[in-house]
Amino acid sequence: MSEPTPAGEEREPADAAGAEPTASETPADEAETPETPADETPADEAETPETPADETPADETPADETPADEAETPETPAGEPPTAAPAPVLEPEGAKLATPKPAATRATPPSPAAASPPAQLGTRLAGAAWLTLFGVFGFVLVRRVYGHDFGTTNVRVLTLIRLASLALTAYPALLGLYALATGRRPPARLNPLGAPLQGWWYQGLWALTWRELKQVFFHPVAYIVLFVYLAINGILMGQLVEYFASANAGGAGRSFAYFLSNNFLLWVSLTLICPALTMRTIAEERRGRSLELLLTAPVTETQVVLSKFAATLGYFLFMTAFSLVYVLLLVPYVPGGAMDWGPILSGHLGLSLLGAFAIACGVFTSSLTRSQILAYLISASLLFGLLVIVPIVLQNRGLPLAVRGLLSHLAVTEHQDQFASGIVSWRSLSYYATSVTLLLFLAVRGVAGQGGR
Amino acid sequence: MLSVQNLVKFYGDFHALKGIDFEVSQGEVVGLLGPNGAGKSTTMRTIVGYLPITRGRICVDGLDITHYPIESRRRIGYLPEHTPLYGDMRVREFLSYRAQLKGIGWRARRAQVDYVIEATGLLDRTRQSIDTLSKGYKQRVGIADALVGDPGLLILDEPTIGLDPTQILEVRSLMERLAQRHTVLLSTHILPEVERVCDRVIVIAQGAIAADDTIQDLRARYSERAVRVALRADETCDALKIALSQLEGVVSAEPLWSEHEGTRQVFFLRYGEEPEEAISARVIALSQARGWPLVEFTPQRPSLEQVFVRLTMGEAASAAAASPGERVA
Repeated sequence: MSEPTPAGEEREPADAAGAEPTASETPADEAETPETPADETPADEAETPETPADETPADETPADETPADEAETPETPAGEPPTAAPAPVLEPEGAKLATPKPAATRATPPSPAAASPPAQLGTRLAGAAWLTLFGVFGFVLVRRVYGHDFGTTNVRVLTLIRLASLALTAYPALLGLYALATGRRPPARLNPLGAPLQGWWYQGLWALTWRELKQVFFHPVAYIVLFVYLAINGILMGQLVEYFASANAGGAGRSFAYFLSNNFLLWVSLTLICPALTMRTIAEERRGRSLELLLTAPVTETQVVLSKFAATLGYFLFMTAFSLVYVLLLVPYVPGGAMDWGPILSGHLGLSLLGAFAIACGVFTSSLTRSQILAYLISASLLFGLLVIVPIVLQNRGLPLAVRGLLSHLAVTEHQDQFASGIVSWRSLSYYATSVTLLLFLAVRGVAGQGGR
Repeated sequence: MLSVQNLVKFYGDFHALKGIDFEVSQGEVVGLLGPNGAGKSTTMRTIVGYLPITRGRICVDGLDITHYPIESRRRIGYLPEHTPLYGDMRVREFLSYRAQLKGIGWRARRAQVDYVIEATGLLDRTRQSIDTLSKGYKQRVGIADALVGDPGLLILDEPTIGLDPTQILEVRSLMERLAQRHTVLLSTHILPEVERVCDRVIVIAQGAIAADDTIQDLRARYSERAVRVALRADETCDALKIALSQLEGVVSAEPLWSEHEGTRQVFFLRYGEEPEEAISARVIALSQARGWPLVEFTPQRPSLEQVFVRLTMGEAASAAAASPGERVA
């Protein structure tokens, strides 16, 4: 929901996918009727009014209504429409006796036809989003990479890095282009990692995330956690005010960033808070057996994990936004009224990224077990090690250089120091991006794994 | 609609399914029977894609579930065992959420949810939180969830377990109605349910298919080849027994119940491969020749319970378990 394009894009495939059950049912209802005409129509019809809506994702109402209408119309001929359906069901007509065996024709169903599903609007939209996202991101990244020497003069290494950056962004963008052009998901041989380029994927993700958001926001744990966080923030604020009062403090922005997003007390509290937010996510579904309900619906494990992650992160952002209140409170007292916003915002970005890391870690541990306590303890100790123990170890001057180098790469604090002093470096961003991706991937494996099933 | 080929499933070292093969064609209602732990739930969970299969192939509507997991799941409505639901949601909210998950656009969604709520008789509970519903209503919500999206194939894992008799009847009649519109695969160990609802029965025992047939054919195949005969005679029980057991084709005649000479005496005749009519003709001839009025002649149709026990426990156990009970009755 953060940027407007995906939000609008999430909505629309939702409706485009509404046409899909109809499409997929057609072969079931009329035995061997050619699928193509019946299937092609909804997607094509829906497309014409959709294109303008694509450019103006802000007003959702027309974008929502149009394809839904389009989607419903073809449903009527395909199967019994749901509204008309109760009648045949409620009045026994001996249909059971009448229907038993068209088995001979059923035995060889049209698998090749199903293998290449019809073009879909949602897929096109997803493709467009991918193309835009990776196109822009790729342009920025590749330009950066080409303008940088990475401290090496080895041409081969440089070329390798440059090609890698190109591939990393151009490949997804090309996949997006394929989806945009054909309206189909790229075939598995072009897309071995299974990048999600189908409209229904985003609809499912949105449905799951919306429920998870409700789950997080309407649960007492959220508010206990909020209380703890705000209490700690208050303590930090007190310290900050004392600091301002005692010394002649230079750079109000930097001090703010230090107190509100890069602070030892904050690390300790995050190691306790984040696991409390995430411990329920998957472990609770496992224990309540509702994971079975979830995973037998047409959604993938990736969607499930991402929705849990996104919803919890959403709550985390909501929670940490409160600390900005303190900043606003102090604005009138800043000498000259010129607040240094850069470090504050980058510090907050750092805090959010750290939160994403902690939440990914928590979702991962929650995916491993059916016990929430265990999930909490495992992720709390992982975070404690990384956020509290590693910085302490790093303060030891006698540390061998190799160990020191490794630890300072791993240590979140190094990155947070940078963010708090107003530096948003690619190194830190890629550190968080890769670690979050890795943890979420592990969480997907954890959900897919059979432990506790 | 559904074809399961040589399905093998291991849980670690435990060989849960040892090569299951069956097909369910469009419009059929198939009961999956078996004792606890036989592999019914495992079979169903592999079909819906919840458990990965060790070996074998499952196709739904011709789509291999390992290659098209999402597309095949769209064609299946699944009611898991014990009906896990989100208790904190309201009925309509839950069904609407599930419809959204199943990829139904929001305009179509309202109609879908209305339809399943009406079909499962939940109209008066739509705003109630699921936790506060009775078990029977929860079961209906589970079935409603399976129905959302109008899937061609319904897979219901023990839909009537844990319900009281009234609720069982309600859910059963609901299933009968569903059977007219959907292909249904349901597992249960309540046999009258199967007799009433299913066209065909697949019996699973120890991870393998013990039988796959219509109920009538199963009955015929596992028929007792026995008949209950009651005669009114002045002779002693032993004399009657000898006379009966000397009839051609009769393997044994055992007295079940005899009041005393001159009143009704009941025997249990077992016979060999001959048709039932031949035996009845001989018994009638005997009664006429000796002047023993024939009071009762009841061919023994095996109950589904007996067939079930035979299939799942083996012949010896079934002989021990089934026959004495029948004789007392």
